[in-house]
Amino acid sequence: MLGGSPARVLIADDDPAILDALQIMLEDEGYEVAAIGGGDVVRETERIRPDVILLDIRMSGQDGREICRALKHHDTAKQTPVIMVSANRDGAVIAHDAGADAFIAKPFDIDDLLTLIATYAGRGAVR
Amino acid sequence: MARLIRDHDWATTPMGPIDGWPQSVRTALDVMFGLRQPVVIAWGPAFTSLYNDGFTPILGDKHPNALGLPIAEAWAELWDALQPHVEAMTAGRTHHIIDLPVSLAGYAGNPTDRFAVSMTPLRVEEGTVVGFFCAVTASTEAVLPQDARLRLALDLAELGTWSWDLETGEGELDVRGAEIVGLPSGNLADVANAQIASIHPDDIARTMADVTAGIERGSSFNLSYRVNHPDGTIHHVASRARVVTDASGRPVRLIGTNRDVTAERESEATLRESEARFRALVRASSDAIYRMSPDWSEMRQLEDRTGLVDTGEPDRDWLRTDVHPDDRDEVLAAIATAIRTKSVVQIEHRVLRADGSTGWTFTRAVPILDRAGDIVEWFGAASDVTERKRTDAALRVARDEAERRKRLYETVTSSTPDLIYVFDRDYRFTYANEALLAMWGRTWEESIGQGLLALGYEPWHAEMHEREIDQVVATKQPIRGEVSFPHATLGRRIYDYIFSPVLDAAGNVEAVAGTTRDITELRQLAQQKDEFIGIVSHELRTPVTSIKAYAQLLHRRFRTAEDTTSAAMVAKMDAQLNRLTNLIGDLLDVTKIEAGQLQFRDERFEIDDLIDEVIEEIQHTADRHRIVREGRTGTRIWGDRERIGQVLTNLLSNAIKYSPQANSVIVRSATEAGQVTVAVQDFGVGIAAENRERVFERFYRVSGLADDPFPGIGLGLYITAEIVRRQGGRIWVESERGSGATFCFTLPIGDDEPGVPAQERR
Repeated sequence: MLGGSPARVLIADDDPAILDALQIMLEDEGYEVAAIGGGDVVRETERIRPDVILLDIRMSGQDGREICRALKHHDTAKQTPVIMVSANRDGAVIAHDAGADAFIAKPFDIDDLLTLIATYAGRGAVR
Repeated sequence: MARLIRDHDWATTPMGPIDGWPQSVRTALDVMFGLRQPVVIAWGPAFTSLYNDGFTPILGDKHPNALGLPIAEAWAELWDALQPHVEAMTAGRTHHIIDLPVSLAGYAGNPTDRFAVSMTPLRVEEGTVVGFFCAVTASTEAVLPQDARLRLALDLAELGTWSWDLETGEGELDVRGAEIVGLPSGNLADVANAQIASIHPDDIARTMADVTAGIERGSSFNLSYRVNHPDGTIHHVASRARVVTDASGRPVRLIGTNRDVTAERESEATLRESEARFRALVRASSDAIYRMSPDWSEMRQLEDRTGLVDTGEPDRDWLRTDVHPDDRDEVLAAIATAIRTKSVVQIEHRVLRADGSTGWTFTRAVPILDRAGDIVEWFGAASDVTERKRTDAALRVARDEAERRKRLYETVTSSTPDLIYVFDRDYRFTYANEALLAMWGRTWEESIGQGLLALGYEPWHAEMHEREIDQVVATKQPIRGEVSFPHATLGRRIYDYIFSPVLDAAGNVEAVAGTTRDITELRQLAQQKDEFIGIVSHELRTPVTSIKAYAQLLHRRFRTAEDTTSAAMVAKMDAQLNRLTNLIGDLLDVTKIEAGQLQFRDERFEIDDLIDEVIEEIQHTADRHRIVREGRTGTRIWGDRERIGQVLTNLLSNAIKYSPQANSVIVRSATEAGQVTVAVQDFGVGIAAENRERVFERFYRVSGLADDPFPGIGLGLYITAEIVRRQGGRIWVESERGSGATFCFTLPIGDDEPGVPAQERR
């Protein structure tokens, strides 16, 4: 996170529409965005080294909780804040248990999400 | 012989001349001379012997020297045998018969011949015995003359004989005949009058009427009367008499017999008395008694206490009037058998009562037989067994019903897949249905009477059920639980069970009955439902999320481009998306509440801040209403901030929705008694009293009308109430129809134990 360079956000979600909308929105806000619909989130994290991870609890074929735990037990990736996203209102409990740093329920208000990302990306409010 | 005695020179003897002898002795002499039977008279200081012609053959060559000798000398060889009798005679015994071997020296007959000697004392006026009259009869066939044989027969029959001349009254009365009526025997001057005089005064008139009637009829007749004996006793006498007529048919003589029937009469009287007692006893212990003719054609008497008509007169119609038509054949058959075998009739049958009702009787009749063994009549007694019959019938019905129920229960319990069983208080199975036996994989014989351990339950499991049985016994309340157990063929299954007390008549628990249901599939379904909820939750929200994200992206871009009209349109789209989101959220919440899966993430937070945030958010979308906040709690509470926010949002949204004409809503909050109270007051349509509790029910709608002006699905308040309850608070509403409503809820402040989540503090 060097001064001046845009903050980098990794979005992991199995819904391409969400990935698309969030990518446009975050890029409008000046973030550098990497969006993946599956695959090895831990390896991508190592490769991209994001400032914050937006992780859906339910990924096709994978359990977001397990991914979160894997990240939080990884030597380098564990430093990266994880914001878990879920369509489940009780996702807060699940996210907490999985070691996530924050939680936001789907469908979210875009302003709330941007505030949360800004906070964890270490840039404060972007507006 | 009479001449010999009269010519004897008695004047030189101590007895003196014959004319001076006592009258009784001279009368006895006259009697003796008149008899052909052997007679001896002994009298005087030395009992001088005098005898008649009949006696001379017995004396043999002792005659005539024996005449006038003292008997002790005349019959010296018999004196040892005779002396006690003679002494008894002189001591006053009235009559004496001795059986002697008359082996007198000089007797020409057979030395083994025996004689019966009948002795009667002779008295002087003062009553002193001066001698005796002694009639002798040979008791051996060879020496017994024809008339003597008859006499003996009479003797054996204990019959006395007499005869009267109907004109003069003169006649004869033999010894026994006289004795029976209490008179001296012999030729009496007037036997008739003597005999009549001996009759008991109360019986004379009747007896004489019988005699007169008998004579007129001219045949044999019987008499029965009492006589007074000199010793003061009263004897019963039965006489039989026959009228003797002369050649012209005129009655001239009456001859007859006397028999002393005192003993018989007394025993008859005793018998009559005991029979009377017996009948009284039967009468007292029976409901009816009756007498029947020998062939039962006629009922001679009926005394009844069971509702039949009493019969004073003989009744030949009793079968028709008293016996139920359907039972008549059976009754007649029983009677016919009894008559044939002369045995007891015993039968239970229906009777027709006088009032028209039907009763049941148990009747028993015994045949009364005469001496010849023929039935004279039947004596019967009956008991009313109507009540017993009714009880029997009721019992039979009850027993049949019990059997029927038992079969029913057996069918039900054996055909159900549920497990049904009964424990005794010592935890042993006393009943197990087929499903349970199948679960154990055991037979009834292997299982009943066994405890849980013996039937393969693990120790912890057996222990758990035993404590539960104890609890049911102690509390008399049912208990419910869920446990898994390895089924003999289906593998491990999950069971839901209920133990219920079985109370005895005194209200004590005598057993514990249980039913158990295999809920394995239910649990699997519940799990599938949970999974379904998860999928729906994700699949419904996911498109909404992306639509909402695009809408907000558009809103930002229109705003940046200062296209305010488009921005406003997209903002409305976003508001509708929020409604859709909330609707989906409510549906999922309800599903979770039902599944008991509503989860909370408790933390400590400022409730005042939360209230402010929610007011601000709602105010943002409310055009008409101003939300007024009154009071502050100043309290940090322990709870799920998100869920409590949901409660506040729901209550405020409702307050605005249901007060379309009002322009304000008031939110009050305070802290008191360790809890926070929040009230949301509106000034709208209000809620009728009868609906105040129901508003918190699932899917309840206040109006219940089809064209409800307040759309919604009736879940908001249900979820709200459930959250408050699960957070340890209370919710209620104060309202009157038409004057607004105030929804209030409390929340505990909670102790500062971060490790204890709210839902465990209830």
